[in-house]
Amino acid sequence: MSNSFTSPPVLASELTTVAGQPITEGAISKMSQTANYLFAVGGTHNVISQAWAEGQFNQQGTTYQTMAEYRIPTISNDHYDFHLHFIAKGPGCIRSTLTLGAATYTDEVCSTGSGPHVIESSILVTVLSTATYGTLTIEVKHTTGSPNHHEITCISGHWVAKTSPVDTGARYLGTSDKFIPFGINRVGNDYPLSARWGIDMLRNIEMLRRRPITYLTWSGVDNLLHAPTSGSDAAPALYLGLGDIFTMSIPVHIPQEAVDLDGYTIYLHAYLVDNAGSVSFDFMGDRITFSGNGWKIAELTIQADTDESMSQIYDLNVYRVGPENTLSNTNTLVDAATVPFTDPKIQSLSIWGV
Amino acid sequence: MTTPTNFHILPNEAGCHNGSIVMGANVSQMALALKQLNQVKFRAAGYYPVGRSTWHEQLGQYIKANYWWGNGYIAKGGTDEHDLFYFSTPVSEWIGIELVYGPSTSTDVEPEILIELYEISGGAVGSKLDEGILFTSPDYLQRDSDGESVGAFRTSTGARLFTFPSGGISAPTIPRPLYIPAANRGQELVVRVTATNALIHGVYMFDLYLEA
Repeated sequence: MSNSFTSPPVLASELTTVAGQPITEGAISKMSQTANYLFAVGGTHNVISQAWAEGQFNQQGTTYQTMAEYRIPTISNDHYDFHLHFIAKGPGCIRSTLTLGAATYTDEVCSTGSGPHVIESSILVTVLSTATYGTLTIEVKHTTGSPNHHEITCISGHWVAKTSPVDTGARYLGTSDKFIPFGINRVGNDYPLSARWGIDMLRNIEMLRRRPITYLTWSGVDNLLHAPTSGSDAAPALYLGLGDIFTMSIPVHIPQEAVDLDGYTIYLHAYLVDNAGSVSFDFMGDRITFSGNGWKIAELTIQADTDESMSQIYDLNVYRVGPENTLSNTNTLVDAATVPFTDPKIQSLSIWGV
Repeated sequence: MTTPTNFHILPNEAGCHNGSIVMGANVSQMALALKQLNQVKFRAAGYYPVGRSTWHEQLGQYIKANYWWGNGYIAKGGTDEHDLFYFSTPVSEWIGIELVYGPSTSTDVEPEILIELYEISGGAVGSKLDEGILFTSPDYLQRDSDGESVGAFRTSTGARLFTFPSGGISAPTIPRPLYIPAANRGQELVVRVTATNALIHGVYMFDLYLEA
């Protein structure tokens, strides 16, 4: 029995399955293949997306320096290949390390082109993990040659889709989110449409609805070799700032049920520094209070309204994801009024939902 | 066929139990839920905040954060180019884009932003897949009026689908969603954004929602 699927899937018409009509075996077969396809392919688009203007994210040091760090969701225990793409300039190396639970996996790519070039890197998770999120660390170093630095202008990453067929037996995200793949041979002609098929399909749909997709990934750039001394030096953002309220306001479709119901969760992971006590930031109408430093996790309850203009143009339920334009945020996010800014700061931020 | 955009309520599991009358309406709702997942939830997207210098010229200080909306400077005639990866899915077809940009502070120049779509070939940016779109001022971009602040403005492609003439196009068109040819769907692609007399602060890209 093979849990196979076609890609792209051929969708079943709901018109062939309405009450009072015979349920055609073709519809059940298509639906089974579509479910298998969605388990293998759903959510394999961008997990990390961030870019920089020319001359900002660069490293002149010749030993590895940790320059960026992200929290990312896993999409199932079966998706084991995390594929990274960079646009880089100059001679140097990038070492990417993914930490899932207690395990770490690393890939390193070196290049020499002085102009912009594509770097591809694959991190392979070789031991079955039940972690539902991971921490990705990006280290960069310069190697001998000209120019005198290694520069990155774009980082992107995604989980590589699985190919047909889906592995046999129950598949999981974490330890409890279960998907039962469909044996396609059992949904063809002359096989019964069992009650079990219906139960499994309902539960599989719920599992796929909960599969995380990324709304926002952002990391400050740390550990430049030299602090900038003029406008011509690299001076990238290290912390989330006041101006990000306006520029990092991302239009994302969020199903209304994720806003109104308890069954779906929107996660926010933030890396806090200089936070001796506690500090609050506002995201999408929800005030999140963080205590202490390091990675912190919160669940967002959306209190904001949709962006009506974008929702109308794109026929979707479009919300703005990012730091919100509130008085509290204008007081707590970094601005130029006090330099250096010694209050608590966010150095990395990821938001994902359903 | 209609494709729901949200997670409608699924049928009760008891409707699939032995002893129940099976089950056309139940299966119909499941078919719609799968369609929603395929056409809406799992649409590809890539949301790129673009980091810029946080050096404050007047203060002569490294602020270490985006300290004001749309901070940045671009010389007259200067360009700001970005190659951004877009990991499409097998059902991706049209890419909608929202840009966050700041026009040049020079009052005698017109900002424009060109967006093109490429494939990745042999580990490099390969052939152009869509000749692209050109945002110009004043129809699609704000122009700086006082020469004092760059600022941050938004513009987008909209969702109106484009009918290509026979033989295709050989030059960028007015803003519209980018088109992914059937042979390239599911591939890792590159969206090239080239701004002239303008700075890019964010490029937010997503598959258009289409009825199945």
